[in-house]
Amino acid sequence: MLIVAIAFVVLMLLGMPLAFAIGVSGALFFAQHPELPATIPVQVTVSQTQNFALLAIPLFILAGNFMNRAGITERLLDLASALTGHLRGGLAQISLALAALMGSVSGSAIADAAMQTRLLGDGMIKRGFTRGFTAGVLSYGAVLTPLVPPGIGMILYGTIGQVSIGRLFAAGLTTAAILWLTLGVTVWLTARMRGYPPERRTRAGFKEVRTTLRAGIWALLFPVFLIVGLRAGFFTPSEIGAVAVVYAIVVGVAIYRKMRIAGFVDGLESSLSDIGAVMFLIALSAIFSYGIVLDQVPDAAAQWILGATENVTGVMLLIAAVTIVAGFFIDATVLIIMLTPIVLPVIQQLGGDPVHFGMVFIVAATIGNFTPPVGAAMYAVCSILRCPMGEYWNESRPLIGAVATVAVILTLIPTVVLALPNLIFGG
Amino acid sequence: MGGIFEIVRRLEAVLAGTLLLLMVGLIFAGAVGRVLHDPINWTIDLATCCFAWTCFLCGDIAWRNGNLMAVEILTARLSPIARRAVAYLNAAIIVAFLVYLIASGVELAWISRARAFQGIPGVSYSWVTMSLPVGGCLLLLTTLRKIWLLRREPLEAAAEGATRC
Repeated sequence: MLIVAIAFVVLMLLGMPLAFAIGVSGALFFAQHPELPATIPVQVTVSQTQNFALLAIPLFILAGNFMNRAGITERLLDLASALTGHLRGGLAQISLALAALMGSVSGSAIADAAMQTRLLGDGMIKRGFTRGFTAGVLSYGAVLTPLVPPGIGMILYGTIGQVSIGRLFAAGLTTAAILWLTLGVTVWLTARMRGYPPERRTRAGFKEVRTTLRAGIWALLFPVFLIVGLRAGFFTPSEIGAVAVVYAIVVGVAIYRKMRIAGFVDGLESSLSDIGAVMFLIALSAIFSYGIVLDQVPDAAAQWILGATENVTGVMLLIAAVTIVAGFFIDATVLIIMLTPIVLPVIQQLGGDPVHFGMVFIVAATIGNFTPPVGAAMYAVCSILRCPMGEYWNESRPLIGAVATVAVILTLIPTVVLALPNLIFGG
Repeated sequence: MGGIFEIVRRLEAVLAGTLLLLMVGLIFAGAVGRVLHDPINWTIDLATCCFAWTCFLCGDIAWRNGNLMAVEILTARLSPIARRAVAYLNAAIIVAFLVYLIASGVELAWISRARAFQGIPGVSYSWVTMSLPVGGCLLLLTTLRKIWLLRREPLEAAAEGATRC
């Protein structure tokens, strides 16, 4: 497997798309083992697409794209402005609030960050925010997206590790709320120090909040509805994905009356490309995972980790640290696919909670999205704002500090993450 | 040249879109059926069969649109000539990989033609397996076209063309 791992890194650095890099390097394992039938890579790739749980992913991507075409963004922007516009660093606060509220209807965190940058970026710079800080806030908002149900990372982690998706969703909601609060405070402090103005002079009145809340309610109810549907046992995660698509169409056509045939076709077309980007990678990763299991990499990793410490919190911190470093170079989706089967058994062996660990792990894997050298959210935002990487890095340090602090707190105090899932699903 | 690619592109998009909507319809119907205590047991099987085809067709769509994630930190710093060479190397490896997937996929579909899909007599599992070689052929076509475009592109754009067309 060492050769396979090296090949993966080399191909990735040569700029080969990750889906192909993971498939080609995984196939090398079979070249080393001529006793294995050559048809196995095909077999495992196809089997991966026969996993009913993973079917939720294309459905939620489609639902997200439809929601966006249904005019939900403008309504949530009004709501975000009414809720947070009066705070210090107004537009930055609005952008964080929008990221949190949009999380549930997002097809892709990166596309969302890009969209928000186009929507709010210029306005922030005009109001005196530095370019680097603007880029930082807009890109770090995307840390919330994978944690608001139905985040793809949670579905992947839950499917691979056989962890309840409903519990993960509930825990994700809490984690996203804590991250939002922490980032909000960080922005507020920075804005106070630098004198960034609020966006509006006074707090929005009760009436305005109520009006905007009513306009955005269909998007806001969505994550709640997902958790309730799963909790009540009405639906499996994949079924709820199909229900979500129907929900999005009904909201777009009948309630907001904004979705027409053109919007429907447009949403469907972008979904095809988004689905291909995620699912083709997931399908081909099966070739890679096959070698990991056959070579007993999880056992070796477990021995190595347990050799360092046998304290479950210590192990979690160690894994989180390794994940963050790996995340500087490797995309979060790939990390979740590759590392979950290796590290989750160790945690479970030590009596750690898989939902608790999942949150720490997903946050750690996501951090690389916002850091040089390969952060996808960073690239998307910086290229739109024409922000040099160095400036971005310097100005976004308080934000990465905030996210890292939250990650450590989450690790040390499991109750914070587990309270809501235990309340909803029972302890 | 352009005409054929355009036709393939459209057919592929229409097919993938139809399958995706079919999946939604099937799973929705299955879920509603179960909640109403009138379960329809074949919807999930048919939906997962559509899922396989959607994955690989969409994979090709994403590859053509340059929507597959890639790391360009290193290649962006290379000289234009080296960048083009790396782009050719990547494309060559991808072509070899796809040819292997197609050949093995066809072989597997042939060997397993007697295996019934989800135990349904008369429906072969090869209907699912064939999604990979067929998708592989489309991906191969897209890759070859990228190589073709790479050859005619000015050097500055060469690296772009390899991964993001």
